[in-house]
Amino acid sequence: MDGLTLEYGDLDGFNLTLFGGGDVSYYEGYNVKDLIVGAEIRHSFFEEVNLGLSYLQKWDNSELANELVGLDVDYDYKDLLHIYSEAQFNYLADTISYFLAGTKYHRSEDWSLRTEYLYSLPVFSSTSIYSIFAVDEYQELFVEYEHRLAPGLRAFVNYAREMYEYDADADVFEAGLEKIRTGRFSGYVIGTWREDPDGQDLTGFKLYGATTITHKLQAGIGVHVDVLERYLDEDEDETTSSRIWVDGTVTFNRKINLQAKVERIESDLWDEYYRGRVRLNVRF
Amino acid sequence: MKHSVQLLLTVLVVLVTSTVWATPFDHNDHLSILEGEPCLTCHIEDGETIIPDQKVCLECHEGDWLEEVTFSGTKTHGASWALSHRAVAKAKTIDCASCHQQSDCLDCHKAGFADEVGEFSNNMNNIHRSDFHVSHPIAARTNPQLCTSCHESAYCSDCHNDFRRTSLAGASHQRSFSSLTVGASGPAHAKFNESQCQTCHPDSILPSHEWTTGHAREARKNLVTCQACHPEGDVCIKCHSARSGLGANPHPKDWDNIDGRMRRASNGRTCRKCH
Repeated sequence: MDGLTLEYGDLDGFNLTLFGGGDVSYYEGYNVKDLIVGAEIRHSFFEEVNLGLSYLQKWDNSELANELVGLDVDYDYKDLLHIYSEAQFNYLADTISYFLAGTKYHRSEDWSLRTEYLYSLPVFSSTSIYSIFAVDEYQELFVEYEHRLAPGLRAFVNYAREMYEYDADADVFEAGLEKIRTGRFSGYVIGTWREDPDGQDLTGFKLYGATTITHKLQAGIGVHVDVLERYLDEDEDETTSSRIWVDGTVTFNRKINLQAKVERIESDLWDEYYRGRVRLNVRF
Repeated sequence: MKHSVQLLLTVLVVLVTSTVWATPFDHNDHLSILEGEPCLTCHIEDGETIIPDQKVCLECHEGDWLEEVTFSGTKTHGASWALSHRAVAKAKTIDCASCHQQSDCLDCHKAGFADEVGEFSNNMNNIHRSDFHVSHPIAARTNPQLCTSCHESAYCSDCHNDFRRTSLAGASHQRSFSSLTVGASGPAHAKFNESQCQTCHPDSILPSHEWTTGHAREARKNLVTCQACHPEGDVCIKCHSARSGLGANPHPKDWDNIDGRMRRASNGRTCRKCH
């Protein structure tokens, strides 16, 4: 949203937020006729339970396009178990359009376990013909185990069960190792395997490594490769796509750095192409 | 001066009470004792990770304290934090701005090339993997709110408008209607030629031979993907209008409970497209 947000906190423990402005999605065409207005009230109970209730209207010209109510809850039990949830109620469609509930067990500094359940429906503008169509529910279960191997080095493995109302469910497994830059080196390696009985199996990996050459210069090299199963004209094929790149960052001072990257993108569907980019970052 | 005294008193309180604080480490207690002090007091600038180095603890605590206390892991900033921070950030249960500037958010939450979501060097959690032109249908068909949280449907149609419909992977767009029979025991559609289509399907899209009964399942599975190429839904109305085509009812089962709200909200504008 491009607009104005007003926050007021002197309400006996309650925080009130009012907001309004134009809807901004990440696209070149900015529709100034979209108007969003809403409010949020937030309060903490028993020091640890944070509750937020929000209301939003989106207008498309003179018509009310969307009317949504949101509720979020956050609770950390004894610095042991973090429980969080958010829900979205689509008033015009009279349905819960989004619900997320998650937990993270983080008692140990060496490992953690996160679980999530997601329920989601699309939200269409009441002015769109799509708002009157029947849609299926999408649900997802997610489990992730993370282990800290050393300061800045962690391994993780996760599993997602994508559940469709009338189609076969899909399973997605992912495992990886990430090195956060605490010294000279940083990088990651991840393997992904998706099994979908309705097609669109995917096998892929991501690999990246970077090092500081001097205290002002960092360079990296990476590759992402995916093999996607696709069905076309009742046949199936396996389409391989890849992205390979090298990048570098020159740091002049804490506020200014210069970055450059050259990448090669290729797939079985299209010819390879190259893309280069130079970016000067200035932090004000 | 006032801050120095406050800090000194705080240090004294911490030192006096530290022995009572045997395991486990309590972050909330530290927040109370250091009330008013910036997070950077412990989470020092240029720290290697969000977890303070233990030498920071020794600024206030004796070495013995470190041996007695146990630390829990962080509830935030896990390996897939870039994908999972939404709930915590929206709930404002932690103050992101105490460590981050808005430019950190804009590293991902902005328009640009797919590989630019996250760090310039390609964020590990970037959902736009490899050549995303190829693999994006998977993401598009999972959580129906995933793509639309950042992109307008017009973003999709910019590319999809250039596709030949028969080259799309969806079964709904394949030419497979010819084996369908007319009714339970009637002849197969292959027996008819295109000039006869309008006899049974007036003003429908079916004569284009690019649509099958399989489209209903795909459309219900993720209607947003339909909108990506058919933003106005004109192609749907060809068959689903109450005034022409097949007159096929597209409404959900509980439509009678919803239609009043939808009609009032759109001033009947959407209804008039078909009725």
